[in-house]
Amino acid sequence: MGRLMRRFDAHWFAPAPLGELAAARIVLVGTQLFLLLYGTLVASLRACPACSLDYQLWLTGIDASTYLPRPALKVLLLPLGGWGVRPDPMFLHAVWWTAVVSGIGAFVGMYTRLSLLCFAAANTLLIAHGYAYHELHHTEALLIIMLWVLAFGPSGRALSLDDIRSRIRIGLAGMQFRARTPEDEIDTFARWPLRVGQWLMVLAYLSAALSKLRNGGLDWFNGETLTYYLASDGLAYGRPLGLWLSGFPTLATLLSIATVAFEATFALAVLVPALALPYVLGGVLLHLSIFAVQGPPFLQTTALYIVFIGAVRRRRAAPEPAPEARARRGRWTIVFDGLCPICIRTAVLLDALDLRRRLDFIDLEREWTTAALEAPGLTLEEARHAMHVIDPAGGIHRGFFAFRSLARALPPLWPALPLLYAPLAARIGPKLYDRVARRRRGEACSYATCGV
Amino acid sequence: MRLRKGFALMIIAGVLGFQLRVILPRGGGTDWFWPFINYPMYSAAHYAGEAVRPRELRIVPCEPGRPARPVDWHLLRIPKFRYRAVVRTLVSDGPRTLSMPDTAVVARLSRLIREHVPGNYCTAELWGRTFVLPLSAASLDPPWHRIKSWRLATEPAETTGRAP
Repeated sequence: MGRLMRRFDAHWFAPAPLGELAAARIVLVGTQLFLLLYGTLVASLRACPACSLDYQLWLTGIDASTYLPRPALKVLLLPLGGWGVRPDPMFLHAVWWTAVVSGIGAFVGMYTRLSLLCFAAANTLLIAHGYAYHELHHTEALLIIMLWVLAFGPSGRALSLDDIRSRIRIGLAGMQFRARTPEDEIDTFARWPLRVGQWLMVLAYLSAALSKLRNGGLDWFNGETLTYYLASDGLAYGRPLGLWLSGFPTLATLLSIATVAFEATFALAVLVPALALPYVLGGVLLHLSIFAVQGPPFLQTTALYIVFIGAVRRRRAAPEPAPEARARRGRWTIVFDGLCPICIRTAVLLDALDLRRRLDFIDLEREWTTAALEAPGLTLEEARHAMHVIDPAGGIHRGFFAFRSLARALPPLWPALPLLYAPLAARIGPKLYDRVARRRRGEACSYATCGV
Repeated sequence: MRLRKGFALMIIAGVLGFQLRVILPRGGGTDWFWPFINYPMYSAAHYAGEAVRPRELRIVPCEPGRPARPVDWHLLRIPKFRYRAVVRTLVSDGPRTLSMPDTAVVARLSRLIREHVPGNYCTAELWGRTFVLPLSAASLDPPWHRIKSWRLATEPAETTGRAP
């Protein structure tokens, strides 16, 4: 019994990387945010008609006798004036904007928990309202549940502005920058929200498999069943490939067997980590194929596969390289002034952007001996005037050019490269850097004044 | 730590318990608990010889020579399920039709067209075609046939024809 409990505990609460949970937050919130914005600003999407503000407003104009809200909507509308009240256009406007604003907050991780709660509530309301007129589709349901689940986990503790702000606050309070360690990046509560997502997918696929066996029985595999769906969807959604495929009942039989086998055994993707990758690839392929040959879009379900990020990453992870290979792989060393607030902020930001963990930080005021060894020829006075970066080849870059070289090493900064390498950038950049550096001397607790 | 774990366990049990309940044969079959729903789409079996019958509602302008315009539920500002029920009632070929006489359905549809589709249209037509499974290259493009048509100008609307 004790062993079983330990296994249960490890299944849900074994320490896991916070970055994986944060990646799930970014992908799932990003997907829903995209549907809201694209569906309203560009064109309504079949993947989420209710995400479109135009559609929401259109719904308020149709016959009230068809309005049949489900409990989720009634609960959310309760503060508006009673059980079963129908939202008006102005209220839906406000909810849509709340969804967008809170979605941006949740995406970048600003007031993450509050943003996620607002985002989940606003989207639940919008989509439940979209389905309050007898029409119901399944594409949004799991994603909506997952948004709520993410709000209750520590999904803002990594890859978020909240994390950066908190680390800056700690750094400034102690006037010392401390780079992230592997221990900082794992948490006991980072696993369970992803596990909930995995098991939700298992139950959804199981439901699909059981329904086919219960309603269709063995006849579901007769080949004609799938050809019927290929033809009817192919016609409804304008998919010539589906129509063409509906002429091959034998192939359809094989595809039917593969589909139900996949759905019925999906739990193996959770229970056997080695099978996670094939199941994830199979699932993504399944949904893309359905979209290509039949038409129904499963964008949200495909995005939900992010909950397997941990299992897939560990399966694909290369073995840890030997120390000399690690050294060769190329580390960048940043020599910064650890007694200057703006330098601490910069170091925290660079550390947060260092997704591939290639940066080492040397606080020149506390570790000058190490800095002098890493950068022979660099004097303490020079180091105090500007940040210095030592690239993997041993080259030393100063000030603006240090930033520019780092931008090459940090993928999140790649979008800034055209600006950093633009004509005249090498002239204007150093001047701007020096201006900021002079200002930071003013606000800094300098070496001299701190008396360290 | 114990409190946080207890809270997390409560959410896990609540979310997965609800989802499990709606997919079980006895507890499920309802979408009342959305977003906790079951997934029975595409689960009925079908057989060779069955037909797929797409329908299309079109309205014909009063000016001769101008092409007919397809009309859908969105244009008529009615829910999709109601539009489908209207079409099923007009051809009387499926479950979930409207419980009203044919003439009343035609009158209501005519009113919706006049209200929501700008322009001068005189006739509404319901068209359809039939794909019999399994499809072959020869059966991929069956001809459209007119199932029904009626004049829009007068009220109550009059039915002018019906195809088998």
